[in-house]
Amino acid sequence: MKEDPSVITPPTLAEAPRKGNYKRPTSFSRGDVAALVSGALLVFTLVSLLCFLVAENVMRDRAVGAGRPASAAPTH
Amino acid sequence: LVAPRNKGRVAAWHRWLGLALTVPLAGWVISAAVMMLVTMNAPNGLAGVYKLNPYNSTDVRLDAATLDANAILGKLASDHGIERVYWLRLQSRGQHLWYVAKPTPYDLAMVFDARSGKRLDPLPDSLLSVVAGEALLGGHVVQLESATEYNRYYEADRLPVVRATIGGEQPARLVISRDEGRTLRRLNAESERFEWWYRAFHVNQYSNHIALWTTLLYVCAAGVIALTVLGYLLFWWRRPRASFLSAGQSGVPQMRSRNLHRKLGTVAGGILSVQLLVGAYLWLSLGPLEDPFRGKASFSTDWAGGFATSRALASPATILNVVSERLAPTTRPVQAIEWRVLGNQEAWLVTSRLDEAPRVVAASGAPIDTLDPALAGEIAREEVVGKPSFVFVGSSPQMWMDLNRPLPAYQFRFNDPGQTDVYVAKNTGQVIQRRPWFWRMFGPFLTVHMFAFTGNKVVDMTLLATFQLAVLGMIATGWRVRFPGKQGRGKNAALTAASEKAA
Repeated sequence: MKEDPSVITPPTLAEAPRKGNYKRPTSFSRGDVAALVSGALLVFTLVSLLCFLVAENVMRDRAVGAGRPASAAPTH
Repeated sequence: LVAPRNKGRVAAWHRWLGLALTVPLAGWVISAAVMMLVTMNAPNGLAGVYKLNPYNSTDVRLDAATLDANAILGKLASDHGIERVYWLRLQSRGQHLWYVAKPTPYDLAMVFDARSGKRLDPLPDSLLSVVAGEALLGGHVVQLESATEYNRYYEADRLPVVRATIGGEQPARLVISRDEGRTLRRLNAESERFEWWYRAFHVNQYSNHIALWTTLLYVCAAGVIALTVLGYLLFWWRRPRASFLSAGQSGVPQMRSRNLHRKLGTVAGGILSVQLLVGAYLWLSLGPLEDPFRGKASFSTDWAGGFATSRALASPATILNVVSERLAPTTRPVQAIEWRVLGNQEAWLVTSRLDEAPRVVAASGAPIDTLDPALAGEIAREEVVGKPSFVFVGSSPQMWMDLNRPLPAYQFRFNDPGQTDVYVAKNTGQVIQRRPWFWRMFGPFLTVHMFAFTGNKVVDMTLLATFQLAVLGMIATGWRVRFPGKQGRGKNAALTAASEKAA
């Protein structure tokens, strides 16, 4: 006898997803994980470097600002 | 959490933003590569190397001037109501003899014929042609073109200039001011190419309307940052499909491009966003806020240095007589004499060769090789807004464009609102550079923007080139995803359906 296509057969207990044997396809591929990690590391490095350079510049700038009056400077 | 319909909208925005911003983004990246290549081996960078003409093309003795300096000062006072001048110079140009008067350190100069007293500025093309023709060794004028130019030393926003094309031994383009024929900038083939790519494709400035083009530039940059944010959102939302698509479907064009686009985007998108923010900061300095950046905000508004127009100056003949023994023997006449007052004493800047800094001689005949820093600082203080206190920082040679070489200079830090560092030439007291706090903060951002991290040219350029290739690859694969071709479309449809079912 031909099956009626309008009838939806519920899955049997054996076919239903069960804890332990069900794998949701929500994980990244290894390549994607590598890209994400390296991208994040590069951005982190870049931003850290910028912060470091700015901080170093500010510190050097402050040190220069604490200079001596012109009258105490050497003339050559 | 997010409705599929909204995810679809994000995908559409990402797609259309990417397509729309392809031209500016590719322009920024390609121009960066060109600018890097152009300057890679340029000696002395964009400033270039030039042999300046040491002598005027015609030998004219300065004491042939029929008017003496006092006559010109009298004219300035009576005809123009000028009470003080910064300096006065007598110089020969071609067969002409000119007096150039600088009313303040930041104003345009005034030029008078030393024989007739006639006012010559703004200089006509005929005179500027003479000036341009004898600026570079072995050069001649091919063409003059009127233009305007920004310059850090002048209060005016744009100076009237000519752009002179020079042929001969050193092909170049000189930007020469119309007030006194001063060379403000020299461009050679490299710097010209750099400027063209920089203006057209890196900062997208197509005219002098900075506000208009900057708005467009920043809108595009914000668009690209939004594009990357949307890209990361899609990357996150589509993670269920990612493993399916990369598992065994690498042979299909769209999927191959999509995988590559996703990976390149993930690695380079974040860096691109950081670079755009850094670049936006840099352009603030070099574009809309160039005046405070270059230290123009520190110009004093009530300058009262220099000397009074009522002062009696020594005549050219007297000066030539006093300095003749101190100058190196030469058959060529002295090229220029400049009168200044340093502290309370009259000083003469005597130029024997136009490619060398002038000798400074006190009215007593004694040479001045270095001014006392306290005096140099006081001269500079007169030129800083509010005449604030200052500290001596040290000595540091600074580039002087007139001679295209660095000059020995003192560095002072002033307590003005911009915390401006003022560099003053050691022998003349001339302010040759102003570097406010805003400018001093420029360095770290430029280092990051140029990927100049290690100082090793090969390493830095490899890093930059890799990043640029990644961004160009991202653009190319983005287009391929959107337009996979006829064959790719059929396969893609089947694959997309299969992947959605799997998800």
